[in-house]
Amino acid sequence: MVTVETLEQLLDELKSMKLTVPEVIRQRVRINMNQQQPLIHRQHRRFPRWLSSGVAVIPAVAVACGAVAYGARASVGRPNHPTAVNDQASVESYDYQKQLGFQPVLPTQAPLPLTQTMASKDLNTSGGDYRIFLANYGSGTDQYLTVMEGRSGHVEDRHIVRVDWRKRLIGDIHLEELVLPNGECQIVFTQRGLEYHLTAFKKSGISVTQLEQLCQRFSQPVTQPPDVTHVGTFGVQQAEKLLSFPVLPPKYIPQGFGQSEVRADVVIRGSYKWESFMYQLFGDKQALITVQELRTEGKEPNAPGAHNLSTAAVGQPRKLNIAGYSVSVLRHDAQYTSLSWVMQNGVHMSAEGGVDLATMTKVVDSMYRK
Amino acid sequence: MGSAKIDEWFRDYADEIYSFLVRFTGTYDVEDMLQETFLRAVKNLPHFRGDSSPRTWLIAISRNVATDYFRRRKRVAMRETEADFASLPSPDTSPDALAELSDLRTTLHQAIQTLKPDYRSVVTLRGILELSTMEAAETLGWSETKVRVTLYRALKALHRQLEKQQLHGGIHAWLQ
Repeated sequence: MVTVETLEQLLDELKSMKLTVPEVIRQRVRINMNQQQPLIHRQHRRFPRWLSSGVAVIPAVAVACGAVAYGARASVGRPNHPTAVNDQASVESYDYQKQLGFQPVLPTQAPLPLTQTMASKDLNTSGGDYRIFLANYGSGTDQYLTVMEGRSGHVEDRHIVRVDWRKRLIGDIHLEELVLPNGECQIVFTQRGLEYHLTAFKKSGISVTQLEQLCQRFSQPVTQPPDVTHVGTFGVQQAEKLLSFPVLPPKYIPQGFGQSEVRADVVIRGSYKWESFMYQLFGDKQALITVQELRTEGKEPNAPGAHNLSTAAVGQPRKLNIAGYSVSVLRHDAQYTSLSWVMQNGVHMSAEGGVDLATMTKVVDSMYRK
Repeated sequence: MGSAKIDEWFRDYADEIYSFLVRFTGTYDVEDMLQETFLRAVKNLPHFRGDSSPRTWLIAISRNVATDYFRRRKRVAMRETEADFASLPSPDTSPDALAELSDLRTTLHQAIQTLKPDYRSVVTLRGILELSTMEAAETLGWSETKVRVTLYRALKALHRQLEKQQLHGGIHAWLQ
């Protein structure tokens, strides 16, 4: 027979079941939150969520680099590294067939004004190359309705993001739809070999029925160049080809670290260009080191509410001289260090992760070693 | 301001949210859910009125995130294997999970997964996270009386489950 005392003892034992977040997860979540993107080391996620919300969030990533927070903007020098022009299609002229491999189509009539379009390529991923087109409808920087389209399987792995889909036949279109508790409606359908993902946010006032009707009006080929182009790639060699600045992967790998992942991204919006190189080192189980190089050119688009979780240092940071650079120590303790600096060529650098300052200093120093 | 606040909350409460998610969902693969919890918090920060504590607010968000996870798992299970939802979650063989295998906590962890969601919630909040009755009530949107009654029933159910797993001898020895 169960007694009250026994239940209390059971309760006591439950208290011992508290867990702590493994450091590698803690850091990944912080970094991914900074970038408003899903877990980038998991390449089963086909498309970075932060991009689907438009280029407006990109400065948030720039802030995450850390250097911006201290106004340490150096003049942007000329690229001293050949740029893979083919991969960095400008927005002035854009051949959709050539760049994306398909002709995007949008609805003939949409319930809201079209505010922004984007062409995006993720190259050299573990699953091959992914190319998609996005369109945002709404008002100003607010998006109320988004359309993403691409070859089947290129847009998003829905089994990771949402899986509670209902199958419908509307007209001659087989679609799957989802209405979330927060009022967000999503529909996915395939037409002429392309997969379309529509999302209507609650504030759009668009019902799932209206979204179903919208699916039947996808017949207007997009003729205008996209407002924004994005190219992403993986691997050091691919990054070197894509970016206009030299990439500096660390040569010193601290004990307990081994597996690495490299990602490079270029986003162009009119005269604004944003380039990022990210090198991540994964520890045995408890730590992650992220080195990021970031360069922007041109006038930044307006960025509402950029938030930053990892580099909110207060006051004047301590400075260190590492490899001839004045490096700001944003945070450091025995388990975590965050550094930022700016190179002569205008590239903003940051290194953060689950090691102490001495170890991180070695990592940064090794980036400049021949 | 907002970002600093979320940063602070992440530092202060990530462990508790992680504990809750692991114990409530029965899986150690909660990284996406942990991230989703704080992304939702960022998004909804302007609506946070401050009349509840950030701790209970964040746990409530994580409970919603975990509930969405269960709904998705349920649908996947029905579609792909037509398995009974009651059989979910599947046994976790991640390194974190295996690390606990030799521990009696593993037995308790598994037993918690057999409880219905309300019981699991209250056992996790009151038992593991040690929220006060008032805090648990705030998180769950229940009255304090309901929290107390449900906790008692949940603990009894949990103990029955331990007995059912024929571990009563071991548990009894450990509890005495």
